[in-house]
Amino acid sequence: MPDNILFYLLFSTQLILLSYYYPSKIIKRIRLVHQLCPRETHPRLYSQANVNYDKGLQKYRLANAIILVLGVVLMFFVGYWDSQSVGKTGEAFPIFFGLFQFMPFFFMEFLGFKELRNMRNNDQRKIKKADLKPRLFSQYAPMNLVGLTIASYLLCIGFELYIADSVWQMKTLTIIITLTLCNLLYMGIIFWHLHGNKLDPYQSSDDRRRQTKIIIKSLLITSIATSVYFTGTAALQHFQLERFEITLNCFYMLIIAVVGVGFLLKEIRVEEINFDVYKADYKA
Amino acid sequence: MQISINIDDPVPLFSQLMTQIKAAVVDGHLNAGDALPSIRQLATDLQVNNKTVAKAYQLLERDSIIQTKGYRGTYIHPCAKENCGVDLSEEITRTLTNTIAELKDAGATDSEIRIAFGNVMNNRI
Repeated sequence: MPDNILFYLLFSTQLILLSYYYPSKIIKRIRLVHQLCPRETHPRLYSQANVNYDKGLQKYRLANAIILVLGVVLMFFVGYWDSQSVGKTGEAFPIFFGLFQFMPFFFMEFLGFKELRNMRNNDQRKIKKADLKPRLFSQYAPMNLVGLTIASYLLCIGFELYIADSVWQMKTLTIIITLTLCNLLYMGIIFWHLHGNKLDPYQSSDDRRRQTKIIIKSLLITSIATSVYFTGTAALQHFQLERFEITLNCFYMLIIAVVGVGFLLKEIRVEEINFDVYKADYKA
Repeated sequence: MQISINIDDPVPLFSQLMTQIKAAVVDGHLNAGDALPSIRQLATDLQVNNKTVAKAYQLLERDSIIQTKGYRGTYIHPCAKENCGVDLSEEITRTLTNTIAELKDAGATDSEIRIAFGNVMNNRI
């Protein structure tokens, strides 16, 4: 049962950040880019009519507004449930609701992929360019952060085994496998960013390099957060502090939001992106 | 350092790649020991077949412009700059011209030379 004020504080922050603050920032950023780079001067940036972008943004705003209202209602319901002491709120509630809050972001990602696919299809240039430098993980990822990621992963496994008295129980095994799968997923995304196809055909190599570095950094921090979260959950269960699990879940979701959305929004600055590449007469 | 290829150019893509890598070595943009992108990375970035890049790398390695160090990757050869001056196709043309001239002096006809050349190339002798 969420019997501490911290849960409500964290959950309200999660609601505001994921369903109001970051979506507003994203919409503002898209509008700013459209304002700075209009269709007339940067035709390569637009693969469809302006009305489609407006429709997409309206749907995105509406979805977030609905989720925000739903979240507030649910929070009050949990509060009431809590005060009546008639039941127990599921510990995973903030996680599941967080994933629900991420849905509009996935929708935007999907639209973004579609947009980039259209851009690639419309690209009629006969001259193809590439960097004559290898994209090595070591050049893109801060090594101290990589070390910390590996250390936190090993520490988490070590702690799980310690509290299980080094016995490979089903629960321990499940946690280790889940954590490993999470990290494999992050590794896959990193590999795809380093060696996969260039999604934006016009993107300058400097921008690609910078963005890849930021994304890798964000994924490494996410991996550390995941390991710390698993360790924390195990610690709470071991010391019979399960009532704080819902707060920890909420805190974890908040970290994922800050690192996965906020960090990227802060680090990838509009003013640093080379938009000249989207001009019709641009020649590198 | 960027490399570019023109897919409409009649010059084969692998040849465009070779010429540009050699030019980068001669101009000093690429120095001995510098790492080159993997075949897969370059092919993906240029949106060409892996085999095209592999062929260019293979020929550059034959000419000692680059060297492959197993899983560690591909690097510029220590003597790349000197080796860039060696044009194997020019050497082949000169040697063949001299040989054909000798054969003609000896009385061989054009068709005899062509048939013999074809047989040698096809390992039929």
